Amino acid sequence: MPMAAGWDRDNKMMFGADRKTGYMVDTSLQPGKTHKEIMEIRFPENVKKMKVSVRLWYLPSAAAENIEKLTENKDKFLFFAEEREVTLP
Amino acid sequence: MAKKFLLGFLGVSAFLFGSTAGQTAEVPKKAKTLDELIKMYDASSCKSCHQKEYEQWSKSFHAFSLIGSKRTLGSWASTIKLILDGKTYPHAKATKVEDLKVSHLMFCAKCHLPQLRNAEDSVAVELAKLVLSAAEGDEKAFEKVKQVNINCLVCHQEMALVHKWRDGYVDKKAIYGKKEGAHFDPKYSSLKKSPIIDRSVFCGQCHGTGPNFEFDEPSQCATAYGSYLHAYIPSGGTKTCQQCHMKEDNLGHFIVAYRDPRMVKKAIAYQVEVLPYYYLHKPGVYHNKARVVVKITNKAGHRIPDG
Repeated sequence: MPMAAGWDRDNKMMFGADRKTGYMVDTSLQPGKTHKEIMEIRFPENVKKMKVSVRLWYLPSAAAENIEKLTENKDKFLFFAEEREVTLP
Repeated sequence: MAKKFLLGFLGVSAFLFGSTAGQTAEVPKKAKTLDELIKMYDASSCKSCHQKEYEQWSKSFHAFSLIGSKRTLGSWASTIKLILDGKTYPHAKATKVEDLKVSHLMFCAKCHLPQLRNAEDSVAVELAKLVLSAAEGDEKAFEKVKQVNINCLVCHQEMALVHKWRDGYVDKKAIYGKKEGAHFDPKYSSLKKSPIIDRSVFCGQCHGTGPNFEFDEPSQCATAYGSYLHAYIPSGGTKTCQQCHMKEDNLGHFIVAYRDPRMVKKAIAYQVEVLPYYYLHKPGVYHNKARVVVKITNKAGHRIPDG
């Protein structure tokens, strides 16, 4: 997400349109660009098959650590979900 | 000679008259109360002929422009409180609600309620009180705040012309769209063409380019049009805001974004690849792993999310 410092005079991120006049950091997805995330997941001991669940949430305002408590389609929006069964050869 | 001077003087007067009016050729009568402002921008008569568009609009965030998902209402209230706390904005010359003027609210109202510029300061005070009460749960105040919004008249009249030196100033008796002609409404009896109503610049007036430096205290809210101009267009983008948010999927005046799965599908391409493999941790010791690669491509005409 684009992040702004309060009144653009230090490096302390703030919310609020009345306090923003520029961006300090922008981690949002840029038009036409592909963002790639690679995750390495270890299988539990003696397990050769597992289900990998990938979910992309959009949280308009809340912090990610509260995601389970947020109300869907109000505070969190599920953009994509996919489940894959992975089996070690 | 005297006649020439008189004509010259009239010419100068007319020029000053037009330029001080700002958005219109005539100086509009300013609303003294919120009810007067609501009446000035009453678009209820549009519904009888444009039922589909009206219904679509009534579900859009434009119809709740001071409330949004309630985060907007909260932001309005917190901004008003900050103005009045005497510390955050010590030079704002407002420490109680009654001190507020239209100019104190325009850095938000520029887009959330642009018609506020056609109201007197008494309306700013009334609106601020209602916003503060509504944000604290007062249902009556909430219902009143809902009545001021971005409606048909805001887009199809108030904001319909961007290049006023070229296209002139808004005619308050006309409705602006893509055609010229008669309009079956006694209050707005003619249709006039807005050359930019189907162009991205029209939306860009509010879904902005960056800081609103025209105000004594600048604000910055949406910057989607800035991203459109400086990232989407250079990347080879060719669509307009209206194409994605209105025309495609017949979204019309709902003008929705992330709340609609159709928009999400259009805006983001998503790919998952999974590779199970044996990782050699140290000689003779393997860790069983899955490598999950997620690729997300932004197909929208602006950054996701925007500021």
